[in-house]
Amino acid sequence: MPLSTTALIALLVIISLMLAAAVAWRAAHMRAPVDQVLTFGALILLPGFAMWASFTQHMASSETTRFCLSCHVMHNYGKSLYINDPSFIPAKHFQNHWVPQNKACFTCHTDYTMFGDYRAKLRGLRHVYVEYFGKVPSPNKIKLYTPYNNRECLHCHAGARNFEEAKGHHKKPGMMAAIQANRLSCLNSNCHEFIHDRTGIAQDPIWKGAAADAAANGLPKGVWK
Amino acid sequence: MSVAKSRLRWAALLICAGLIVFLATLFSVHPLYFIAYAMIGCPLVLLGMFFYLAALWADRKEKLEPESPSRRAG
Repeated sequence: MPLSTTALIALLVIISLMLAAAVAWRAAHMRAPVDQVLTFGALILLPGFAMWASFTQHMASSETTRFCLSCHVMHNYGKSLYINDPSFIPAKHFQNHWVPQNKACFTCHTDYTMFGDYRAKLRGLRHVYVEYFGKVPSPNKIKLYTPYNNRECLHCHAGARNFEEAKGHHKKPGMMAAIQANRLSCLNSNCHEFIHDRTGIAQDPIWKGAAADAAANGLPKGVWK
Repeated sequence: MSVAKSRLRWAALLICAGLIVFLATLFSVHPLYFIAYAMIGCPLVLLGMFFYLAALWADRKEKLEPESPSRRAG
């Protein structure tokens, strides 16, 4: 069975830990140049590598749907992924695997620009800070930093036949060009306006497979109970 | 134990503590574990590395300093 990345990083951390412990144990007796090389490896190289590897692992974890929905304030957003109504765009994408289920939030809420991923992660760090050390706003007061850019939709849909040939996208002359130039919003132009229903979620019909699907994705119980 | 060796031991202990935090947080997908990694684990390892460099500095100083008469007599 192949080792997972996490297991490999854990192995690296354990080896690094054992060497550092050996240095702590034998510190009084270290003299020879070979000891100096060993201490440099045990106290600088390996811990540095372990720190970098753990950081990349934590960054990868922070992109997961489970991570995003683990804060209580996000539970209704998670529930909205299970609304049994295809007019709700996130629910339709999530339930049909049009976005990777384990990275659903990140797939749509990162900017597809050169530094989009980093910007999204910096915002995420701010959200973590607010969750634990600040004042968490009520779900209906949470808004996007900037209006949703069509670029994020077009990252996947541009060039797709069902997007390019859809009658709704050619209702008026120049409509497709306006969509592509972000002059006509996909979401705010009464075309695909049903996004996350955060406040009326209790009344929305929920997909009957939601509990099993959420459990399979490791989502917190608050999302599906 | 000399200053350099004492610092070396402290460096190793701090790094061990940081690495234990890394290990404890590695398998969990939750913002709290990320905070523990970033706010506890990383500073401990970095502090350990700093102590290691301080130990090298102290070792160099000890080698350059002439031995005191009392040490020579002992």
